[in-house]
Amino acid sequence: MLGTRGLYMKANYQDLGRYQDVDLDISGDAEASLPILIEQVKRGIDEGRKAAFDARGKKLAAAKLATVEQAKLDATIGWDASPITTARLCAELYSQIKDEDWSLVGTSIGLARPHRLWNFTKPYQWNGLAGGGGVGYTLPASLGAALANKRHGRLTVAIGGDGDFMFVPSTLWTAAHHQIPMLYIVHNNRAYHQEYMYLQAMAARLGRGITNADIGTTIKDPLVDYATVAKGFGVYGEGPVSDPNALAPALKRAIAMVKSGQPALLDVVMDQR
Amino acid sequence: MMIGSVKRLAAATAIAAAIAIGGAVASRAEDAPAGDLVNGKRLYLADGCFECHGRAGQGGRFNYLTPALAQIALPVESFIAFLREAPNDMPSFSADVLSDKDAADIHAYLSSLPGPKAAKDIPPILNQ
Ligand SMILES: Cc1ncc(C[n+]2csc(CCOP(=O)(O)OP(=O)(O)O)c2C)c(N)n1
Ligand SMILES: [Mg+2]
Repeated sequence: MLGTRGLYMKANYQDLGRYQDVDLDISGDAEASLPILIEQVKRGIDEGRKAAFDARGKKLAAAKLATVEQAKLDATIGWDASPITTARLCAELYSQIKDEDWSLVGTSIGLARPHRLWNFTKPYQWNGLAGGGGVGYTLPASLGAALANKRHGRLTVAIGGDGDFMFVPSTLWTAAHHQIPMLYIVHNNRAYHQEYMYLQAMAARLGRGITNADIGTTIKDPLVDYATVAKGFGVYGEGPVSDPNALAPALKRAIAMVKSGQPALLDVVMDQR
Repeated sequence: MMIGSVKRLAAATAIAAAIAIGGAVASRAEDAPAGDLVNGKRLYLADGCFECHGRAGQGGRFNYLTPALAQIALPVESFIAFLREAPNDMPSFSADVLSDKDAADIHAYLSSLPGPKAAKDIPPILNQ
């Protein structure tokens, strides 16, 4: 029986019992537990509360719709730019997967566009971020999620940083060896960009070297050809894609590869965030 | 000190207003300052503005979401005052590293960058 006022549920044991001021803190898998919990809650609602909930639901739906419209408008800025904007990548990708049983299992740092532009309705459509914030997490963690998705026939997609990719590229060999379908998009901003921004901020604050923050923070001279790296591991690779008009056809080819049961990598030269 | 924080507050308020109405401003090209666009673009990239605000001025993210600056609605004087004493995690750029003239050129460049366009002309966006 539910008698609590607040409930916090997360499968990640690292967060258990921390920070959340709730009555009941239990470890559990939200995907498995929520459907039962929602039914329990529904049964406990009387007619009066139901009307109030419906009214609140309508308000929230309208607010959500307004934020999506704003996000769409924001996404048009720099639509034809190269490097490709993250908004364009996310819009193009979603328009090709939205009618599939998709699952987004990796996002590059600070990539907020999918949650502003896409319609998330199922627990497995996003699996969160690295608990410890470690770079190098996104590629291998995405493959783990892709393996979990495989038997459900879900279309697994991930967008990961180029710097992140540099940590454990051999993940791709594992993907090829075990034939784990996953579309992996390298958010190639040719930088460990988070560090680039921190250095820039420090340089400005100290009033010196404001044009030197790219030293040690960018990945150039030479540029990395991620598609060739992928091919070397036996994985379909395409790119670097810099022309925004070449993006949709490249996505289409890579998605076809994934739907045939294979991993695919697309290297997209993108703006920073 | 007092004056500084008042100026800072005024600038922060002005930019908040600018961001709020940003989407509705079609073009401010006619009242854009007579700055040097080419130099402005060069500095926007070289001095790292693009790192947080995007090469197309589309906005981005540092420790939180950072505003779009294309078709900036903030007047040039407020823009310069804002750069000198930026709030939160935005670094301040002193006159030692960025002159008023250079800042005005960046402002001119931002005024020249196209703002949002009608999403109805873009099929992948309509699809969302
Ligand atoms: C293991 C580890 N090393 C270093 C860092 C510091 N760090 C945080 S973000 C970042 C850059 C990541 O680059 P990339 O994956 O390309 O993402 P970007 O910031 O370029 O979008 C680094 C080095 C970290 N968080 N974890
Ligand atoms: Mg990067």
